[in-house]
Amino acid sequence: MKLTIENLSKTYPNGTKALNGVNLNISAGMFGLLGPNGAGKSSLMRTMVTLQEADSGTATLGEINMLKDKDELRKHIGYLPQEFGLYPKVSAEMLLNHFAALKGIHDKQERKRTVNELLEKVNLTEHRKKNLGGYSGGMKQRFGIAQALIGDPRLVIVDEPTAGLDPQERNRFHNILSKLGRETIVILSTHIVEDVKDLCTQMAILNKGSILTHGNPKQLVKDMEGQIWEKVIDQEELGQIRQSHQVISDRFYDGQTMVRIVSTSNPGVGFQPVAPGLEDVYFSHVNR
Amino acid sequence: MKIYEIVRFELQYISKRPANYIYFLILFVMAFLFAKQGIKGVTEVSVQVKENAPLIIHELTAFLNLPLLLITSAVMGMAVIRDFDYKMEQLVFTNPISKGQYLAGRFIGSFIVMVTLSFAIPLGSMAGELLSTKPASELLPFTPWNYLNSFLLIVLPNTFFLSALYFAGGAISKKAVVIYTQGIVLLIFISIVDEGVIETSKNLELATLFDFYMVQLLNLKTKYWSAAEINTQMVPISGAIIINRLIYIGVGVMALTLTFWRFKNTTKGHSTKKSAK
Ligand SMILES: Nc1ncnc2c1ncn2[C@@H]1O[C@H](COP(=O)(O)OP(=O)(O)OP(=O)(O)O)[C@@H](O)[C@H]1O
Ligand SMILES: [Mg+2]
Repeated sequence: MKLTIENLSKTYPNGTKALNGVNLNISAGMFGLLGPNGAGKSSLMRTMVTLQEADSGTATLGEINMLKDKDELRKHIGYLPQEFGLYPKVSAEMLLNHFAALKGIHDKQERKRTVNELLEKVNLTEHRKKNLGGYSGGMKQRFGIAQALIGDPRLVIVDEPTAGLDPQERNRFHNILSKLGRETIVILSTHIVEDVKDLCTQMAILNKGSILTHGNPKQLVKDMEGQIWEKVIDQEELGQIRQSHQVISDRFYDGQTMVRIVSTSNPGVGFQPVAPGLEDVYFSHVNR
Repeated sequence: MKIYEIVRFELQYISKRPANYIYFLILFVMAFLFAKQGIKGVTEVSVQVKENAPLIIHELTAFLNLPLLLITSAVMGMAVIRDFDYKMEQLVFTNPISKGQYLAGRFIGSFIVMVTLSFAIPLGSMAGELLSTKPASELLPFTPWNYLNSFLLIVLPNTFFLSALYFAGGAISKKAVVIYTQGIVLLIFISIVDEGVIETSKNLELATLFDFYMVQLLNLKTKYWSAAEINTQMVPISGAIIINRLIYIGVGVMALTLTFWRFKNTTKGHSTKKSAK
């Protein structure tokens, strides 16, 4: 199963160009989508899950035309939106049971089993009878994760899934993801660059509606070897360095400033070569 | 199967909302009180007509359409808006259900609730008659069928008409404010048709085809009836009455068709700027 996106564009009615000719090829496994706020990550995801119309371009999942065969596509997807609410006066068990029935699990016993398994998976068993209106932000998020996994979808799209989760629940979620079937495509967007490096076999960086780079995270890091340099400088020197080099980051360091730059050749005295990380890949593209 | 599940959940969901029980109670109590006191005094029939003659029951039932009009807006309007108000639409619409299944399920579920609620009208009126303050000489023998007849003839088609219109307004606009406005507009519209157009019309025959409450239409049909006839006979369901009901049912069907045509099961997206996270 492959997901192919070609030339996808989307402009909102207010004139914002959220997607600008996006091309992507995604195969089974975990795919990380990185990009600054407003890059278009959520727009891309909403378009992939039938919630928004694209202006132009194509998207296919296996044999399914994702933009046209919406009813067919919905049989195979699980989606966790970045922002959502829940009916306040309904219990987690009741709503999950409803979604399971809509996803086609008709047998009552089987549905009950599925719901219980999922609640267990996201650690909500204890709160299953509680009204969703009384859920904390993280609990709500975990409910969202559970509903996205009903019925073993072939394509799971999760938009900033770990936002609001405590460290323990975040680990639990990462474990759930890594245990998903071999045939499943998982697309996740996040602002935690490290998570992409740890979890994903494929990734892309999106900015202003365009894909800046894509590939295997470890490979992308490897490609930057020998190009990242650091130097301790006075704050005043920063402006000058910005003019001559591409600065990735600067931070306080022992009363002075530690500046980190990208350079294919030796940038000169005082600069030390350092091992690149995925953040360097991210900043080197986004700040260009 | 999918539609059945949506209907089932809708009923389960609505049954958890206290407001709906209050609506039932309001309708029941109003019907009860009017029937108990008797409304013959405000009608234009002769004194020999009994308080529970079929025609008077029709009038009583028609009068209770007014509270029904407001209740329907609350129940039917929210059937779809709810998902947008609670920001649930993204979770709902990514399920493998088609737009038609979604709309049909939501409409049927809420309409079943409306029919149940509107049943408070015959039930309340019957209870009112049984505990009537009128002397027995003023009353005919208790005939439940007369109440049911008025329910089927007036309440049920009107409930369908109102349900379809509010459902359409809610689903197409996705905004609660549209529902409230629509409620007021519809009320004014019906009043104008009723009091303005029909009462002043030279061609009463034609005008009463649009009589929402059916009071004028039924009065016209029984204009030359004696008190004895009014006491003993049902208004025959014929010509104008059928056309009148078909007009309202037809407009309802058109509203539902328009809903299916115009409704989009997509999201407007939630701007992250407003995010509370
Ligand atoms: N419904 C909408 N109507 C108009 N403009 C929108 C809408 N949704 C998003 N946008 C705009 O489209 C652009 C992309 O937004 P999007 O939400 O896809 O970004 P994102 O990468 O998910 O950002 P974040 O990291 O903040 O979630 C932004 O400029 C945003 O303001
Ligand atoms: Mg987003």
